[in-house]
Amino acid sequence: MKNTKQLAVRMAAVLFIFLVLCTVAAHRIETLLLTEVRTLTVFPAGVMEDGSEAVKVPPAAVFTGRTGEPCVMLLQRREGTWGMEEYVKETPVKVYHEDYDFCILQDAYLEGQSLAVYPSRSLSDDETVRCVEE
Amino acid sequence: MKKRNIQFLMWGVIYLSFSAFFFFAAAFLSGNLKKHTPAAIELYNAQGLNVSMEQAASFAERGWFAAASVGEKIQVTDLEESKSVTAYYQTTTSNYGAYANLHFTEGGYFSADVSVEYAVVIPKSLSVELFAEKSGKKILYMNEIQAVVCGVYEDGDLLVQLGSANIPVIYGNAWKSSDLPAEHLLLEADAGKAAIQQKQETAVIMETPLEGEMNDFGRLHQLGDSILLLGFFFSGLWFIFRFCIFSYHKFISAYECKEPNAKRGFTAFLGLGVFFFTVIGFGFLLQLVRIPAVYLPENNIFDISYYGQEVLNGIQQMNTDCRIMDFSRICAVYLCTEAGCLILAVPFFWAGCQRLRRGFLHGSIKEVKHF
Repeated sequence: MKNTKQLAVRMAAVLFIFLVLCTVAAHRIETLLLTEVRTLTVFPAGVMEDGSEAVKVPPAAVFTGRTGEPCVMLLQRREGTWGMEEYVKETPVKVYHEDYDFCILQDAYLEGQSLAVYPSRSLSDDETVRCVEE
Repeated sequence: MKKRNIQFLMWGVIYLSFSAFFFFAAAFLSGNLKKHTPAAIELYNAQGLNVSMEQAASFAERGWFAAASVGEKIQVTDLEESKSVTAYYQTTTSNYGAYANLHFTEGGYFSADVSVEYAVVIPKSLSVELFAEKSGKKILYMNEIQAVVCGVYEDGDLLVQLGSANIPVIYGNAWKSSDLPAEHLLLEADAGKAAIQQKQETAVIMETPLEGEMNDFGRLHQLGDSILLLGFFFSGLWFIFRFCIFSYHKFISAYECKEPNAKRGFTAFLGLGVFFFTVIGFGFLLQLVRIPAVYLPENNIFDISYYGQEVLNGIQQMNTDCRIMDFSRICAVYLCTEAGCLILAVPFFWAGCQRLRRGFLHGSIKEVKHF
């Protein structure tokens, strides 16, 4: 009886250690599987001829939203299960002008904010992402 | 007993030395991968990319990419036509040498405004075979057309030669006509852009669809480093396991009253403390695993079929390519050799640590007994 109890305690100790290590590994795997994005800080806004504000971003920062309208993916931080995490927020924008080098976004108050660019997979609103250090 | 301890320690040191050797070999291979393959995105089609060399050259001048034409086998002879060698000839843009990481022992790559009509660069092996130790201006005949040798590049080490076919490759500025189709384009890999995006951007700039196969060497370079870090991760796991076993013994010892009553609390605390630091260490160790997202499945990391498909696609891509200077084959050789070195390094590291542990453990037991 005593031996059975000892065996059970030993097995429980091994299982506990194993599960703790698995939890740490699972957290890392979850992080690895998140969509990988690069970040871009929006330059200071300029004033256009009609007095409206406009910012210049590369074409890669402009995506097509759920409604088919152009949007940018704004990087935000929030409290997650394992601490602070980063997610993207779909923000509709009005494209004033675009060419191969840059897009001018009118009335988009994005100055100094971080945008997600070049995602490893297509992004969706409110999706948690992993930012890659350049 | 003492002799046995020394034996354990000696074997431990020998195993660890082997392990260090293989780790250094893997690191060397990872470095060489970067040295011998371009950090570029390659678009390739054996039949041509629907882009002529003339069209490609105008964009190459702006530094956006380098291009090489569809190649052909030719007979090369020296000026006296005493020696004849079969070689593979490709017309390239003038920036191709810099993109393809060619290392020159003599001269350099021809420039865009080279004065001679046919300027070529040849590998060192061909130079030795045709010109031996001859110095001065080197001139050769390619299918009876005279060409001036501007530079001699290194063939590469044994691994590079294993990765490509055993035939010298000659790169030339122009031959016959420049409306030859481009066989492959090398786009400079931008760390901040996905390969598919760079391909699309280039297609937009050139106003032509580019449908060739795509090899992302920029990512493969990154994969070389990731494999190395994975090796360090597996080595570090030994310490995690040992510390886990240590803390387990302390927990059980405290529970089963193997220690005197006064020491039980301390033993349990020691076990808990060691386990806590082990978990933190394991978390940091996992940070060494850095696999680019493009090589991972979307939702399930244990999706074996995904990895199988990726490996099959890679093998298929390497086998269908029949061109001579095959960078993807070189990358495969380097990455497989690097992985092989790490597969050897990790067990040697584990065995070495185990031997050292036993050597020190027996020594400490003996000292306790003697005391």
